[in-house]
Amino acid sequence: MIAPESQVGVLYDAHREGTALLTFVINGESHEVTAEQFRTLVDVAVRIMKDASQSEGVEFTVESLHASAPTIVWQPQVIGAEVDVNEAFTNVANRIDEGVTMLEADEGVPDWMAAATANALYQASSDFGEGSVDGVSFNTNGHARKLTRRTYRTLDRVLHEKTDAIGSVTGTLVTATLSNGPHVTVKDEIHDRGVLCYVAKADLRAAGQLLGERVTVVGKLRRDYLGRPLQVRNSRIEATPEPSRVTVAEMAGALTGPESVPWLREQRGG
Amino acid sequence: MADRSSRAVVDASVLIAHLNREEGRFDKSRELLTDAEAGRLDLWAPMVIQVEVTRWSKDADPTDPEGRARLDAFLESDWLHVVEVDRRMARIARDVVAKTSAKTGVDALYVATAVIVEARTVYTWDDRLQTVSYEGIAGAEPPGATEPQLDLEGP
Repeated sequence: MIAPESQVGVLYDAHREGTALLTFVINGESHEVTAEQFRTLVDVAVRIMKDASQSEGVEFTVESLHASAPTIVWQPQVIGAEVDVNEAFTNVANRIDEGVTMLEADEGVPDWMAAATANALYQASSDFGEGSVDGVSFNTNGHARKLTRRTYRTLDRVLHEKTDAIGSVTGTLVTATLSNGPHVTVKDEIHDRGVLCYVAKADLRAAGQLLGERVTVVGKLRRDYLGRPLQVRNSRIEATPEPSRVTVAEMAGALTGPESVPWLREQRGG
Repeated sequence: MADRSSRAVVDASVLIAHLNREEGRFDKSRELLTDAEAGRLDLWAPMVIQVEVTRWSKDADPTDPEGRARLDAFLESDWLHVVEVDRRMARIARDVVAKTSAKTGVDALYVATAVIVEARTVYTWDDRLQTVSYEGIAGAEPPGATEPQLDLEGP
């Protein structure tokens, strides 16, 4: 079967005429790469391949190993029914190609890359270009994309990027304290993480009365690069009781109104 | 996060088709929402879904005086996971608008939600949204129940 057109250029086109193989190279002399570096970098490579192939129904097995420069050749194996391995490989390869390009060009972290992978790559790449390893490469049939120290700089910027905006967090108020400035901690019910919400000292006692309650905090909301709330300044806290429950069955035909699709199209425009 | 196949994004059209008992759409809408309610599927949507369905309800005739409160409770159901529209979501939605056939910003928000929560499918009755394809994410009409339905009215 012919694979779809590449979205990102020619990097992985060559595999169409041969076996789908993805080669991972640690750019450093074998005798200079420590066992710990090898383990760390292979772990990062596997994470990247796993993230990039998450929806494709394939997994990669080791086809061969070389030690001249530490090299692993991976081959995709079908794990899902009705999967075109060449098409899946093309998708994975294009994603890695595009992701490496983004990281090297300081254009951010690809959306398919999990936060844990980005963090692992950040740690692993901190020595790129400063020790025995210049970087790592993913390639097919001689076409390569290399992760270098530029990737570390990109991740250093992005992973520490925070944004501020007026916003709100809803969840359970779990602590109220004067330590490190008067604040409460709200366990955000969307992300299941504690968010520090700073309040005026005079308002802390009232906020403490809401311990264990569901609240909504409005204020200057700081989020991390994944959009997860970190803290709220100038917080205003309101009790937000759980709404009463209704079931899907109870709401079947509960309202009679205009037909869904034409109504939504009219509202959304386009 | 859970297996991608067990999570999906749901469009407002599916909730409205259920509330409105729309011919040809009601059964599959109910089955999809019931699957979510029973924990067989994680359903996600951008927070704007709550506004869209509530706005639709203004054009509907509630069948009982407590309709508004019940609708609010329905939209706050814990089986419907909502995602806030933040800068990352907006950036992805801009990319969706630029690269796909998505006709509106709201359509793009549903697709961007799928990116954020790592889902592959946006369930919708709108065939225009069904044609959108982005980063392995596709629109589709609700597929029907994942579990056999008991025929309680059979002989």
